[in-house]
Amino acid sequence: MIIQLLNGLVYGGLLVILSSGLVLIFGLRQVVNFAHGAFYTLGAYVALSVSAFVGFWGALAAAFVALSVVGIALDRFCFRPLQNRPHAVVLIITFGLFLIVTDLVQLVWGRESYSLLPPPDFTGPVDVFGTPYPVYRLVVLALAVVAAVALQAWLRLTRIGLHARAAATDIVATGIQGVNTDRVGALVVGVGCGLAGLAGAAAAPLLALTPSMGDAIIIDSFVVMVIGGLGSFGGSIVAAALLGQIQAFGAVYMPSLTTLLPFVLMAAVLVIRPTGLAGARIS
Amino acid sequence: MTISRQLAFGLAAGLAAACALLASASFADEVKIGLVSTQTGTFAANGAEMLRGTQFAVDEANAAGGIAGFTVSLATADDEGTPEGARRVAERLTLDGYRILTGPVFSSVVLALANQLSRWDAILFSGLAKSDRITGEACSPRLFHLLPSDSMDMAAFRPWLKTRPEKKIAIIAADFAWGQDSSAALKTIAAEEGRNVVATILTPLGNKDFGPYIQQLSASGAQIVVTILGGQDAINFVNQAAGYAFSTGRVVAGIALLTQPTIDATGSNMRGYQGEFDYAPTIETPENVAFTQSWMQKFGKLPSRNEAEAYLAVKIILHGVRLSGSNDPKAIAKALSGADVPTLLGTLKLRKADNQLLRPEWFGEVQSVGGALRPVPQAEYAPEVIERPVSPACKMRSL
Repeated sequence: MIIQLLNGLVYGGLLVILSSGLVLIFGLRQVVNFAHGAFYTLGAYVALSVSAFVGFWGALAAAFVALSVVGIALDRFCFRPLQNRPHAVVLIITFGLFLIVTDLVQLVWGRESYSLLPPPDFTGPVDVFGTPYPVYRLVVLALAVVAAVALQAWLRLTRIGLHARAAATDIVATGIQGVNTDRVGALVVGVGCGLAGLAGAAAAPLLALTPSMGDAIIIDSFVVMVIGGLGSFGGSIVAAALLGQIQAFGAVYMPSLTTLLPFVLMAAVLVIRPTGLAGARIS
Repeated sequence: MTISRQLAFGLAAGLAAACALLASASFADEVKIGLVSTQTGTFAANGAEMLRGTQFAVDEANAAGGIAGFTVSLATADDEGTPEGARRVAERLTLDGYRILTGPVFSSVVLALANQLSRWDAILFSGLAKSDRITGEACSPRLFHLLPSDSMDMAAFRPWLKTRPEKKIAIIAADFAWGQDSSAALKTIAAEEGRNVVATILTPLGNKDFGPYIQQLSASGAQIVVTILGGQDAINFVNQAAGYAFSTGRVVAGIALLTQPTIDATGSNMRGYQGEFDYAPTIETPENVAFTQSWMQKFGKLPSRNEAEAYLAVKIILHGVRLSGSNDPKAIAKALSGADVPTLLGTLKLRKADNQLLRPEWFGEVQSVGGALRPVPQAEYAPEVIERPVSPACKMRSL
């Protein structure tokens, strides 16, 4: 039971990292970024390519930095010029970007499957309440906790975080107060996409690296975002943990319904509380 | 005005006739092969292998001056891993004259295409799917099954199981036709061999987190765990199982698991895994040695099982062209049915009753060979050991 609970927390942790980026971007730009799944994939492949030179931990950092740069470019050349256009237009463009980035990954790395091995000190199991449990899964869990705490600290304790929260509430009023909202936007989207890269790199030792690896997990992330409440970090963390547990326990107790359960939960939340568990703003 | 209109009609008609003649001349000189395979999704890597192997065989044939006076042309299409997608793209290929089809990854795709072959006047060479239904209710003089079927795999599994002392078996299988059929057959064999199947787990196709399932398998007390997983699912399982040191103290054996791409994609995590396989680059027939050498020259690495199977399918098609002296699908099918055909595993027979290629299988283990992990054969089972009776559901009609 405890091990299944841990399994749920680990998958939930991955979803926390990935969906935090989605929530950040939605909170500020009001865009559901379909390209996020492709950025997750790209992060995994970047980590694969650089790990031979900078080691696993360096690869994690490189994936975050590389995708942050991609995010800043995305904001500068896509979200900012299109900020006055209907949301559907931007949404369709991000979907196009998803296809383009996926094809680029395929072009550069091919369609073969790869794996990124975890660092040698974190390969085997450790004893958890008398049961062997993969130490790397605990690393993923720790990484998710660190990412969530660091993100909250960044938003709560720094000036730029304050500006980001203000811009998420009212970007025009924030601009009138002298805040450079373009810079804030670039930073927020950069960090959001960087988190997608980090999630991809963290998942790489667990999952086969293929150009389509982001397709399924991004759907779970959207489910997390909807259940948690669009734009709410606290809600997305609770929703990710919940979804992880549903997947882990569903696999054991309701195997034939595992793939359906997240959507059942989402439908239930939408019916009972249409704004999600926690509402709709960066807080 | 009337004259010029008549002249224009005449010219147009002449031009159309010339085009038709040119087109038919080029059709007549070509063997047109259509590859319907999965280029996107969970099994895209398998589709990419099918494409590489097929293209390699086509290029090789053309470089040698063609076959029986024909050049070989290849058109490819992505079936998106679905029967509906396959029907759609195969329809287009056959309309374009590519009526010799090969390449499907999934049994469901083969079964969907099999229904349409007469309407398209096409023939299909199934080189990767395994369902018994292909040579059962779907059997047709237009459909050739080149890979061992599920029941043939199980026939190779049984003698291995007889050598094992372990009593408790668990099965983890992908929840689609192949996984369901194979796990059912395996349970029957296990029961007949006096083994106790303590857990059977069906996992969703494209599953990400195998942790809960690995935990269940561990808790079941199974001494042998049989995997019936492919593509990304197999890689995810192997890598995640390594984190639990899952293969320590128990035997992990796979159906169609010991393929080179899966071994390559999982680092050293598959060392010691056992399983049946129908092809490995380490098989030392003269034909396979020559093939692996020329493949190595071109790609700098050994061919995978899927690449070899795709290559084999084209070689058999071209043998049919040679035997019939024709590029007409029906003539090729007629020439191949019941014929002895050259393959990478030596000369084998295409059984006339259901067009199943009768071939050997191996059981082996992943071991280090020259510093790299390879599936190493430990026992070979001849075609007559693997051969299953023709399904009573198979009713061959005339071409």
